[in-house]
Amino acid sequence: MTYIRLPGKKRGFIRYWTLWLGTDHLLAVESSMGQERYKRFYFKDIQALIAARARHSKTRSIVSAALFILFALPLILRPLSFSTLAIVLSTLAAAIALIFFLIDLIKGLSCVCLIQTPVAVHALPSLNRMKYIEKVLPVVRSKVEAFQGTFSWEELKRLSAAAAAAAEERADRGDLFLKAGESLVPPFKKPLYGGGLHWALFSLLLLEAALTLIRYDYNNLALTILSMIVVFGIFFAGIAALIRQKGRNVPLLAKFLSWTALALVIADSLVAYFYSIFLIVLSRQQDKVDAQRAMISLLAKVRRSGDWFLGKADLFYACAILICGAAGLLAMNLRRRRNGRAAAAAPGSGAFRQEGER
Amino acid sequence: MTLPGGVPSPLSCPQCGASLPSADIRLSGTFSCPECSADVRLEIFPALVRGDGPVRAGDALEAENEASCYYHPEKRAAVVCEACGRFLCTLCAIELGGKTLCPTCVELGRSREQLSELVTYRTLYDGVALMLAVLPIFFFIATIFTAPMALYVSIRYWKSPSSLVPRTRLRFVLAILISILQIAGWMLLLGSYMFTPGRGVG
Repeated sequence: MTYIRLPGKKRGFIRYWTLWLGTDHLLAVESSMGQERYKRFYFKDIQALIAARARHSKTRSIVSAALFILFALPLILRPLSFSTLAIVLSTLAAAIALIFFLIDLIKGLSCVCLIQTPVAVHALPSLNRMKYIEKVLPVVRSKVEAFQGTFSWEELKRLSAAAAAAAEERADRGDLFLKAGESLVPPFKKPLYGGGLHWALFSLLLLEAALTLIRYDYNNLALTILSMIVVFGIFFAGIAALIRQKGRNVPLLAKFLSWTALALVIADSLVAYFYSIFLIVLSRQQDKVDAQRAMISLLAKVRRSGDWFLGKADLFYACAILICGAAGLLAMNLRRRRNGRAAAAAPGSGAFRQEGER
Repeated sequence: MTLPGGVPSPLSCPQCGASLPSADIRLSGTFSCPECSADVRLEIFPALVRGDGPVRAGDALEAENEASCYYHPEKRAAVVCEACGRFLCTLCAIELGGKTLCPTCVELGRSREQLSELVTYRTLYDGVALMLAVLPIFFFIATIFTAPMALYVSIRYWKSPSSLVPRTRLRFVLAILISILQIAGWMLLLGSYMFTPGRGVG
């Protein structure tokens, strides 16, 4: 059988997905290192194609643009502490952020596409942009019509009657679809986002709080570097969590704490940065070739409890991120328990749905 | 997945998984999901409303001289398997790729990969050979082992069934070229080491 490639391709780290048009079916191909897996969707069986615009697409573009500005600013401002290595790394990071932003801009809005058959609902990962959907739909529609025909007058009447009955029912019940927690639509069967990034973020916050408290009275190079690594981890986990949580069923408290934690970490990093510049200027080491290393060494030698400003700032910072981390973990734990209870209550939802739609 | 009376079965929002209300289901169009407010683009087809046809269980034999199904001797044969010629009732007949086959031929075709319509997985040896040739370049010493392996895989599986979708043999060709270059490089290296004056022979 000859296949024709349809527009759209999704690339993962080692896998990629494509969609092909056969004579009587669609072939979804998942390719990875040296192997391929196939799924066929026969045109006579396809019931519906459903695509939803991904909520995170705008957020992702904004974050890419923000990261580009963040890494490009130091190149423009050229503060005294920037060594050649830092400039190179900044340039690389800014370039990567710009590439991601441009790719997103050129490819257009991202989406999630499902294909429904009598047996199950499958995702079509290769149709991950709205412009691919718009190109593929007419082709699939014409093929499906060749096998299934078009809706008969009787079928259209039944569809309209069912839609009208459902609309009337919704109106009678006072538009419950729009009220949070009360809906004729069954609750989610399972959350699409497991919350892993938020768990990681809040755990790292607790670790950073512990490190800050240790460094309050005892500080050395190893602890300083470890703290910097943890802060980087918080930074990236925080950004990823902010992207993932948009439009998902993450507790409101966890969402708020993610923003707060990121703001706290950025503020603390800026304070540490400017304070270290102050220290370098004070110690007259601005002519040092590798000012980055000098900065870290100076920060590692400072005992927080002995410094009035840094001590108080660190105590406040440690308490704040401790509260954020603990509250965040509690919120995520409550969410997990709630989802577990909802899953346990799920067996009745299928029957409920049928009754609701009758 | 159709409900009694031909009422369309629930469709799910791809973003949040919530059921889309029937009131919003149209033949084709865009609307907002009531749960996550995502913009949903929907295209439905007649199969959603029509549902599955009645199950054809096969007709019983009415006269003794009627041909019976090979797998159900009490049922009347309706068709013949196009692969093995067995008589089949309507229950046993399987339509596949424009042919009518019996369950045994379908299973045989699936296990021997003779029926491309049933293939769900393929190992792509051209990709494997190319990976063996290219990836170890980063750990150059490993190429002394992987280059011959890549060459062997390329030659051994040259004629093996490849991907179901159109694919050239370019990867095999590249793998052969790269592995030959690597082998030649190693031979030169070892030869120069052995024949350098004061080190080895000569």
